Amino acid sequence: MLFNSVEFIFLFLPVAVLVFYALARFSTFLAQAWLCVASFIFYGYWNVSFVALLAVSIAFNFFSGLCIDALVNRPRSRMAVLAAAIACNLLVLFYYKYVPSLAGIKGIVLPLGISFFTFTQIGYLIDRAQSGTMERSIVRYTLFVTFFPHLIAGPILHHKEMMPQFADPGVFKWNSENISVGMTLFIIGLAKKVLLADNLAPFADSGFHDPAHIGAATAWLSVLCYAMQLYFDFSGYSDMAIGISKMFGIRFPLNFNSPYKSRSIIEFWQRWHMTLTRYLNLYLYNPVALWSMRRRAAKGLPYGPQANKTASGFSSAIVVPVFFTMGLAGIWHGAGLQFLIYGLLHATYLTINHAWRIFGPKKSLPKSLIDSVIWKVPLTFLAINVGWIFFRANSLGDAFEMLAAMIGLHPAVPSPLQPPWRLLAISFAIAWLMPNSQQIMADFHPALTKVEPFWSNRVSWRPNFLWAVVISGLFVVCTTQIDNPTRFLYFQF
Amino acid sequence: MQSHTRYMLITVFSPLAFLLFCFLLPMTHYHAKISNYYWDPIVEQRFLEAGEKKDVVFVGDSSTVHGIRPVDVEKVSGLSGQNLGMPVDSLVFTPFLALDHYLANNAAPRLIVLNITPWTANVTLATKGCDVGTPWYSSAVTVLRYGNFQEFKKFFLKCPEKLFHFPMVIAKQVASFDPRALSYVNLMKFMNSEAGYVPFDRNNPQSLSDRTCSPYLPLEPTFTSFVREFKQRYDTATTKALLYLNPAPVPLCDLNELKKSFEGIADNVPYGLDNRYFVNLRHLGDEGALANSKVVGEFLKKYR
Repeated sequence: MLFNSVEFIFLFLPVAVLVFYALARFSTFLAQAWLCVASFIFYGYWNVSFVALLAVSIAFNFFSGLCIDALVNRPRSRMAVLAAAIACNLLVLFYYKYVPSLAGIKGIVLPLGISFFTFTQIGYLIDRAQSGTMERSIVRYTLFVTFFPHLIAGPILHHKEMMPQFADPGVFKWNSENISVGMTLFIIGLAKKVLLADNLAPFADSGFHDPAHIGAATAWLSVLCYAMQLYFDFSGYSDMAIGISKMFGIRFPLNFNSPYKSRSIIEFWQRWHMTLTRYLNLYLYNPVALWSMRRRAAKGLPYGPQANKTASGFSSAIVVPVFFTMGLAGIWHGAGLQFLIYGLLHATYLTINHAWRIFGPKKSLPKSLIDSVIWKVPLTFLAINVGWIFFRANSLGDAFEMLAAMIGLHPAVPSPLQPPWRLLAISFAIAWLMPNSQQIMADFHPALTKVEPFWSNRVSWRPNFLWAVVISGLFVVCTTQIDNPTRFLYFQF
Repeated sequence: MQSHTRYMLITVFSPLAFLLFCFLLPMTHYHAKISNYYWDPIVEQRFLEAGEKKDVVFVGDSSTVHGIRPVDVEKVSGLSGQNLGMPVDSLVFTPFLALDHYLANNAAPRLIVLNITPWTANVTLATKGCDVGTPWYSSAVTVLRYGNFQEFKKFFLKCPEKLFHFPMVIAKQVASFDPRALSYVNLMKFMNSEAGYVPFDRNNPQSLSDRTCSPYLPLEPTFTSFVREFKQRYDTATTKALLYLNPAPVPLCDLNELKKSFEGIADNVPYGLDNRYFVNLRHLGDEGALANSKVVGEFLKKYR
């Protein structure tokens, strides 16, 4: 079921919320169980045959977690169980995600959200093995994995921030603030998706469909349209997820924080798909960096911040973990070579950015707004867009064709579609000049993560009549676009 | 807390009120006038006839709307006629609504002719799915405006998701409504009242682009039972109900296959007209409508 579908908005969500609070009056357990059932219905609505896969995955990982707990005094066995459980999870993911394209087998359908629920559970198992996190309630564990606002495309949750909320009796009490804040965020996210992303998609799709036969202007416009489409699609989804979750009294971690306002690639990854970055840091980057440092220590070489200023220290503490992490992150997006290039390109960006930070001029540059606007933000945005070309292209060849078109190597061919100038301008204005949804709602803390305040508090949400008119008007406009809902771009991952 | 409750109520109920408005608006005749949707005034026009006494009433799909000129049929057969063709979804979902409305407000004809293209029979009518392209919309409008609660219930129970989709479509139209009814007036001029038919919409982008003959699928029992129901319902001592298969383009389509498929079901012998008469597989242009009406007139002579 799609968040932007009529069935979800007018049937599933209201029923899920109302039944949840009705049951919560009698028992929190019943309310939790209801959310699990609703989440399975939500998942099964797309393809009922994969409900079994989800259920088996949950049962397998829950019992693997119990085994890990039981082996608390046998560290070797504990690690063996952990390794076997992770391997099983990755094998299933590999089978659905990579076997069809690598082996050329048709007919294997990628279960929606498989990456997200697999990653969530792998993280849970690792933490359970390392810190002995105890969760003995299978209902709460199932809810942690399946809770429908995050099931299909994140945010990637960490059990430490979710389990206490699921156990908190205060969460299960009706609170009109939760509903009004959640509903507002949901509608803002819906508007991002259906009014902006979906209307930018046709031009982006047409450019990337056959990049060998487009001119420079069309190529640039297609890439910019795609950049904005992806941003509003994914951040719209994340706003909706946070909003829905808030309606149930649950707060999610933030997943987007105006990434196109970033002044560097490092900052970009701290603002884009933040829960994935956190996950990658926790479970890939940090272990590899730690392993690398231990190796240096074993060889008697210096390690730590001072050692990073030497070429070999920089290489082992930053280059190796960054390339390893980003390479895997790239491959996670798909089996095509273009995804690997995408990951490695960002690894290169990050390495250059870290090198500049460590080896670059030490005198503090003026951190003025003008300085950012003149070169940092545009340069970062340009680099991101080169990455998006590999991310979006249907093949590596297509990505290079698009790059060739952008630098004017193709003859100028007018696009069959009218460029969406106005929409693109609005998108840029929103992405660069406006506060983001979390800043607008900042006084009501809809997400777990706090955001830095916007320079002006004029666009600050209040539960007043004016905002009610604006948001309900926005919702009415959105309803004119949802009779034929489109999938979110991140569903394919 | 109180302000949150008030905010929540406004945000929930004002869109719901708008959606309710989207159900109420199509119930009015005003909607057909301000709608920019091509079929809305055509459907409306089918329900306006009153006090007429015609020999033949043609019901059917869009091939009837565009391909039967009652005036030219009359010139050949001597039988006066009325074209009650509707968009295909109305035929699928509310096949008898316009006809019943006509019979209740006009004198009973001697002949009721159900005209369809072979493709409507084989695919659309037999499938009876809720997603016959987008045009289920016309049936929903027809049911809301002219049907009773039973018909409304029947339609939306068959296609429950349309209960949500319908107001969305109307809501989408609201922005492009034509409050001065200019397009309605233009279309009414365009509808040839003298010939009693609607020339094919020249602005329709599908014109002349459809140049492959879709295969005729084996007839499904749902279609044959539909025809049986039609005849049982309207074949009386004074009125004869017929199934008339509209022409297929030749040589683009194979007539032998068509004849084999409809043998014993259609009352006419399936026939073809030259490709040049067609704007696409199912629809005749102006000249085609004239040529076809002569053939229909010849066929009806025996019922004079």
